Amino acid sequence: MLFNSFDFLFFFPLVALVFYLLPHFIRWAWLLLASYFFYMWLEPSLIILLMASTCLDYFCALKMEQINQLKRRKFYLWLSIGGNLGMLFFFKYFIFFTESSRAILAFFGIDWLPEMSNETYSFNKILLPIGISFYTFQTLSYSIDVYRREIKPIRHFGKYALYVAFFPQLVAGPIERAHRLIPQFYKKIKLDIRSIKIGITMMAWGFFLKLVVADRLGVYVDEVFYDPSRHRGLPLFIGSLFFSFQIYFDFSAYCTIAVGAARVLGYDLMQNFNKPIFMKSFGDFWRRWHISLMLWLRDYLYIPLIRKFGTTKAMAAMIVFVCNGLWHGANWTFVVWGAICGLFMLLEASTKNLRHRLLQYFGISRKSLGLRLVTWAAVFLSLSTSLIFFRSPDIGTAAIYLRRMVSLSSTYVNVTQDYLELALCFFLIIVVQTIHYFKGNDKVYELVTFRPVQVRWGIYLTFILVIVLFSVNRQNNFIYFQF
Amino acid sequence: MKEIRIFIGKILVLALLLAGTYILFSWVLTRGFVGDDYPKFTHRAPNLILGLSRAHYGIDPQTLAASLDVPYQKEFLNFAFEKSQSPYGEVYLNAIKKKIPDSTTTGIYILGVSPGSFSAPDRMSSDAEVFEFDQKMMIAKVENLNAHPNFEYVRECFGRSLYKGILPHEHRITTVFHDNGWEEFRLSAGDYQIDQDQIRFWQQETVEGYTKLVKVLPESISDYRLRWFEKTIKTLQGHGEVFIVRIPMHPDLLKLEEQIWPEMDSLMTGFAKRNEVLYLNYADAVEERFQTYDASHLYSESAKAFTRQLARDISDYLNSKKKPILTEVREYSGR
Repeated sequence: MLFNSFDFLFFFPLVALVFYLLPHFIRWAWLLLASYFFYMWLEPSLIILLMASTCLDYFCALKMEQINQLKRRKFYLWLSIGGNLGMLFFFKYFIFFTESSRAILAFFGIDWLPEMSNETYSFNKILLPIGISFYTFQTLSYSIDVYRREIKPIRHFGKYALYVAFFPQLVAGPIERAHRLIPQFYKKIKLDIRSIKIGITMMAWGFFLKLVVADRLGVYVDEVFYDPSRHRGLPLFIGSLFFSFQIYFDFSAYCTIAVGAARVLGYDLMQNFNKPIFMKSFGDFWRRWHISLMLWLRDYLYIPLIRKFGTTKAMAAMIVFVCNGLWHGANWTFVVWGAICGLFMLLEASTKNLRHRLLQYFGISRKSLGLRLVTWAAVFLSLSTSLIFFRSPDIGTAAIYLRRMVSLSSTYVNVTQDYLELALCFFLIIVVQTIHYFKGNDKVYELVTFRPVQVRWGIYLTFILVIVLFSVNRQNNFIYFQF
Repeated sequence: MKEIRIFIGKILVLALLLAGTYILFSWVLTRGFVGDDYPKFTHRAPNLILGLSRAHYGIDPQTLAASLDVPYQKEFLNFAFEKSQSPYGEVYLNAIKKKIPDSTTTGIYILGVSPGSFSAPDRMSSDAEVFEFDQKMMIAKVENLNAHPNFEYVRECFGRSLYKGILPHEHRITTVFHDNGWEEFRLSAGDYQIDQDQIRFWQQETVEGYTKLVKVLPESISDYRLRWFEKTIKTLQGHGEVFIVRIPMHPDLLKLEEQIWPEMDSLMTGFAKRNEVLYLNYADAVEERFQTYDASHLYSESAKAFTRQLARDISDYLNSKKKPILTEVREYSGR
């Protein structure tokens, strides 16, 4: 089910209402039922995978707790990792790797697999389960934490299943850690009107970000990315900037709705963003962007690569960023995007001393506004440019986009033939960033909740008017649903 | 408890306000121009013009009704769509059934045909896949095709913001959208004139675009679509007379189509013979009065001239049918 669908408008209030009417001891069952229903709404058969992953990790974690022999514990750890990554690999990457291998071998004249055709192979129709990357990483973190004896396994199967399937964060995160979320399912939730109001306000802000801002930017982005060879110069540059903001607003909208929905139910999910647009460097950006995934990659990939496998920091960082790219999708465009981000990080780290010496030489203060602005612009433009690979369907199209974008001449900027919409896009970016600058993603509710009643109602009514009049009627999926 | 009741009350008030505002502004929008295809979703009609964009631009329901010299009901709706929104298939047939009043037995149905009407992406090997592909079309998204105002259309297909209902829309000044579903492309609108150079440029662009598209978007003629085309003919025969019509186009485009699907005419002739309907092939009618503005679509005057020609041919056929003529395939005679 999509958060931005009419179905969710009926689903969520009903879930919340029944949740508070039920006694504490049975609420987990209601939430689990609601979560499975939420997941099955689009494609019921995919629930089997979610359940398989849940059962596997529940079982492996209990075994790892019972057994003291390291070798056998390792066996169950690898069973969990292999099972989860196996499913992820099969459903998300199998076609990609098969096709890539075939192309590489064909380059060397080896005809390992003939060109795929619908009649010959049926596996090219493998359905990508929604949110598989998210819940796989979430359950893996649980198994690894149990193996490391950082947490004790949960014995209550239902509550563990709820941890994996909790509907606000099931399909697009945040990727929650067991030690943060599972204890909350044991806590008795009292009806707290203030907390519910905050949750609803956050959800409303998320809907605004999605329906009014991200989808609006998406209209322009879709147009220029659909066929970049029809444009040149400025429209492609604006398109890449808009996509950077679109993906940020779209994903942060999802996370804000998820955090808000959980808050209405009395649960606290982690924040996935911390004003990423106001980053000071590439490294700083990745500490503010998709925090739950970056922390996951740090804890379960980057640190083990260095500590256990003796990888250099630079190589480990590069591996992490390529994996980050691949996590987003089974396409070379994501691999290239990840590699470019890794290169930016390496470049930043390796030139740190040189940059400091140059600044000293020219007598420029590291805190000067000018320098900070130049740094920000350089980082932002580099990231925006790298995202062209993220958004393009293939490397060739991305190359065309880049080549035509740097052209000195320009085609018509108003590609959607609507100047008002173009102006609105710029205006909304400024408005939202100003609000985020002062309140961040997680405190926007403070703009409403602590105001006098007349002001509050004024804001509510204005909000309703804005949502109704300025939402883009497209019913678009959230971008991160595809991952 | 009182606090909870007040809170729920406030939520309900806000929810009602939200729903009310949405309905109000949707209604305001439907009072004016909603979108190119909106009129096709507002009422039933006993006579339909079907097909893709060539029929959408090329056949004017009003001219057709005025020029038909037969004792039939004369309310026509152009229910052909642009942008591959109505290839023949189960989805289109289901939509067509909803458009025709149940009691209609003397309708006239013009089935525009072009390779696009029968194409499906190569990657789709089964009927189910093509059906699923078609489910993304507007006619599948909207359940109620005959409501005015049609809020469902606004919700599912409008694709823009409701403030457009208050502010005037920006759309092509040379295009007029008629309530009968016809999209009229005019070569002049006020001071704006489209000259022959521009038309030649568009025509060249279209031919080049189609050539490129054929290479990058591999599609082929789908058996599924051909089967459902026949089912469409049979279904419509239960409501009246069916005519298969190939609309005039630029010779370069015709050449390209014949390369893509050389058997098209013989197949259409086969359909016509098997089902005892008339196939009117105007594909190579490249005379002055049937000119396109972009190689593929007739502009206003051409569309009207073509519609009049079509009406004459249909009238002749229907009037002669009083005598026992069963099947006939006619090439355009150039009258």
